[in-house]
Amino acid sequence: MPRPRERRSFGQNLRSLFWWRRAADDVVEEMQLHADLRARELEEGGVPQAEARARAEREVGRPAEVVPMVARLAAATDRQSAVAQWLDEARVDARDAVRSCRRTPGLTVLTLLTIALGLGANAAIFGVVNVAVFAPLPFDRDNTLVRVREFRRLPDGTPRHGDASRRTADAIAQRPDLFTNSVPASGVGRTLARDTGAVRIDAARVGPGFTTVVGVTPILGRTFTEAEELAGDAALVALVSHGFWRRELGGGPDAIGQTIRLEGRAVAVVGVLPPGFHVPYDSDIWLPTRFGERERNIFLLARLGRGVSLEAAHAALEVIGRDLNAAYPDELAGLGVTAVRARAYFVEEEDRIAVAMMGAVALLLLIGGTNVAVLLTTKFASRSDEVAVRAALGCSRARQVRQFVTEGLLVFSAGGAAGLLLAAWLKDLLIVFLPDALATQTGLAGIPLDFTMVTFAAAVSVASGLGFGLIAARRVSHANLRATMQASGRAVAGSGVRTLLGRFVIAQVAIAIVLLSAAGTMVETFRRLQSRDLGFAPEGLLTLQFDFNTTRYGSADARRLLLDRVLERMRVLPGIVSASATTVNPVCCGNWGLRVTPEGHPLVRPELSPVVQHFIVAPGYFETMSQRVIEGRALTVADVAGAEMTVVVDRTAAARFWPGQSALGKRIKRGPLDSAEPWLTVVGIVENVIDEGDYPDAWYLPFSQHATGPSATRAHLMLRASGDPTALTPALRQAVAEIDPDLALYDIATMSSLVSDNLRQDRLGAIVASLFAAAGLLLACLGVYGVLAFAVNADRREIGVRLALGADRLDVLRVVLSRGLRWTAAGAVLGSLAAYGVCMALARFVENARLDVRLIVVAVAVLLGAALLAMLIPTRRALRVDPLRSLRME
Amino acid sequence: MSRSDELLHGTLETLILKALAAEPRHGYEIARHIRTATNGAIVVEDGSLYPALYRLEHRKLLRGEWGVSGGRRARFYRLTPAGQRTLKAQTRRWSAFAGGVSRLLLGKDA
Repeated sequence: MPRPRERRSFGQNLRSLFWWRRAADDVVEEMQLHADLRARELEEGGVPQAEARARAEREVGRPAEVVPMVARLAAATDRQSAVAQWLDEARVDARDAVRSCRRTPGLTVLTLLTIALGLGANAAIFGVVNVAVFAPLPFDRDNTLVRVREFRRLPDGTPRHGDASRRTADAIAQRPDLFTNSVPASGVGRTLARDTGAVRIDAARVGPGFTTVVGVTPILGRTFTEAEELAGDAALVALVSHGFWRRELGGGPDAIGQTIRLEGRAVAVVGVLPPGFHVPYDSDIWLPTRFGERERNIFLLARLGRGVSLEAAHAALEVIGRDLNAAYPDELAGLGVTAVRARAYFVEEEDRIAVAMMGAVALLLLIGGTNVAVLLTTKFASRSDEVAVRAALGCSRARQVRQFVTEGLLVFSAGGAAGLLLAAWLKDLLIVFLPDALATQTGLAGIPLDFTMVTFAAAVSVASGLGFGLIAARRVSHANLRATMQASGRAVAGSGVRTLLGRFVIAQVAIAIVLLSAAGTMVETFRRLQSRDLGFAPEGLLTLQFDFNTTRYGSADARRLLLDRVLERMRVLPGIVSASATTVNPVCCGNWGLRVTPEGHPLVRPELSPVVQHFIVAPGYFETMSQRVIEGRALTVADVAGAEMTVVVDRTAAARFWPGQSALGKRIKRGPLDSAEPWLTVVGIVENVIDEGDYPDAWYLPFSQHATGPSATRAHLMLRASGDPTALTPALRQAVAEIDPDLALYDIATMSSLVSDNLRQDRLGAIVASLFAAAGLLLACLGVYGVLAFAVNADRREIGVRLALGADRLDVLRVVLSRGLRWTAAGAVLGSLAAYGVCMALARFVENARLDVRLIVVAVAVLLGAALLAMLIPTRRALRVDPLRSLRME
Repeated sequence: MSRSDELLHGTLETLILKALAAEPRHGYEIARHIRTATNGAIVVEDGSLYPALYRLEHRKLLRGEWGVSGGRRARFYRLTPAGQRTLKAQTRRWSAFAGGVSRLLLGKDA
């Protein structure tokens, strides 16, 4: 309990206010006395009076000269002792605060837990969102790097974005007023020959000035020279990533000048780019390139000019797109050009998740905040009599406020520290929410427990401590002291406080229900995603890729021969049930959209012709995938070059292209109606596959008839195993090495793991939502328990009075319980209504989001249980006590 | 030490501490004690006593308290424990210094 200032007497205190007067008066009086006594001594020694006076004064000195110096010293002393006293009082306050907390250990632990949980979760989320939303890409500090993309509109009008073409790249380069500079790039696979066998690496072909435009400088060696950039592929030089340098080149300075064998050619390493840099895509090697006149699939990067806004660039690009349309009506019809900030492109995924997480955290914080507020308020309110006593004893109001604030600060600092520990642990769990791109592009290994995060936690702690301390102090010190003293404990549960407590209970129950029901929606969505029918059976399927080396397997025959040989070898391997191949994996690694023209399908505009997901598959593909053939037949070995050109379409494509009739026997071709492509006859209709592709419809072409062209440069083998598919890997590698030792196999994975990878974010979202909901429910239970137990405790006296007046125990119990239950029920109703609203809002993001009534029932039951327990325990105690004793107790 | 001599720097403060070693004294008593105890060899004058007293008080080597002497209010100074320690240390240093100077100048122990 704070005491009045105790170190100095009242008089000292008063005088210390006028330290300058005091010091001056002191010294003058002292010197006067001294001079008088000395003069008298001298006179007694026989010195004449006047001379004695003068000599004495000379010896003692002139007060006017001494006073300023003494005043200065006195001021310094005063300041020192003021600081000392302040510290002393702070120590006393802190000690009292600790004592006060120890008097109510349950309440204190509850408060600390609440703060730690609320603050910890929030700080961790803050750290993650901070990185996800605000951390700049290391090579784009000023946020002027943009990726220029082309788009075409789908039949329904939505734009489908894609890479840029050389035409657009050239048009951009002509506009230095918009873009300071620009550079084309593209991602390619390259086979790197090593002593231990060939591996495939992601390479980037980059145009002149790539490092300048992107803003990256080699950490070792140099970038390309102008001559090398002009020579393109022929320069036979490469920049490598930091990871590649460490992994493949030993990570030493002697790596510069070393040669690596790429696609059978010796390429000299001239420089190493900084760690984490892999633009575009996941490139490990950069090769100078001269892009061809008609190249598409260009990853076009540009720097916005000084003062050019993205909006201005958009407007200008629209004009450029129209000009290109007019200039190349055959090639670029229906094309639009747009730009997206590089940062937004690399992290575009995370927005929705971050927002959802912030929402959940906000709700959790709200519950935690109400909890702490109610806990501290009841705690401080229960001390209003103590405050009144102290005030009566002359303890200043400022001093009392300080005491409350000290206690608030203490509680929040301790809780904040615990919360920070929690955050340090949580943040690494939460990093999975960051888009992979951000993690790789920024070279981010983990969320740093950085200065911002600590500052954030500290700021919230201190602000909350000050705030709650002040609020509590204000409430208490505003109270009418005399009334408080007379009413004693009764004032605590006065009607005002009671309304407040009721609102707390209602709010907490409502928020917990909203949180739980939102989490339920996310869990339900994930469950539906997980258990949905994919259209094929991923279990037991192993997949791996290889690329057809363009020099050795340039021709259709060579490719067909290689794939046939590889599949034949695979089929006879023990443990393999069936083997086939496709150019596109339905659940991973990119997709391929193709514009097609179905015969007899009414076309509104040529540029609005349908786009299908483009699969080129080996015989036995549907059988291996367990993809059901609905009508007609699957593609077989009979569909060879020279035979009738055949195609299989999926169910939605068949229904869309030939509504109301059988698709079998109908014809469809690649490109527009007047293209030179041959007509393909539909021989089968298969079940839809839920894939990661952008297009709802799919067609499947026989590999033997379409083994040329850019879409057939890569094969995804699909192997159905009878046992554990991963155990087959060494045998597969060996089998392939026997056919072609230079053939690099990569991305070996089970289809099940790929499917589950695709659901990673949904799964984690569901897990975290559940955690949030559980934490919210727990906090709400704690809060409801705390409030109701407090309310009942405060009513013990009233219970005693009623019992003393002869009330029936059951009646009393009913009265007490009904109030708490009314609050809880009101919260449940409000919460259910709000949950319905939230569910409606979620329905915009999540398909089939619906309110899970069972969950709400469970939540209400749990909260009611907590409420009943909170009221029954103290009521039982109150009922058991002799009524008279409970009256005296206060 | 005559009137025109400068008091050795820091010496006055040690002398004041010494003057208060036995009992609390007020300003006049301190000056008189120093004068008589040194047989008039050292006279504190030119107003140097009070600045020294307040400096010592500020350094917490003394504490001043108002009391009564001969019917008048007088500020009595007493040594604090810190003051006593300082006096001891200063005395040791002085005797070492004075002994050295005596041996040098007079060829004998002081």
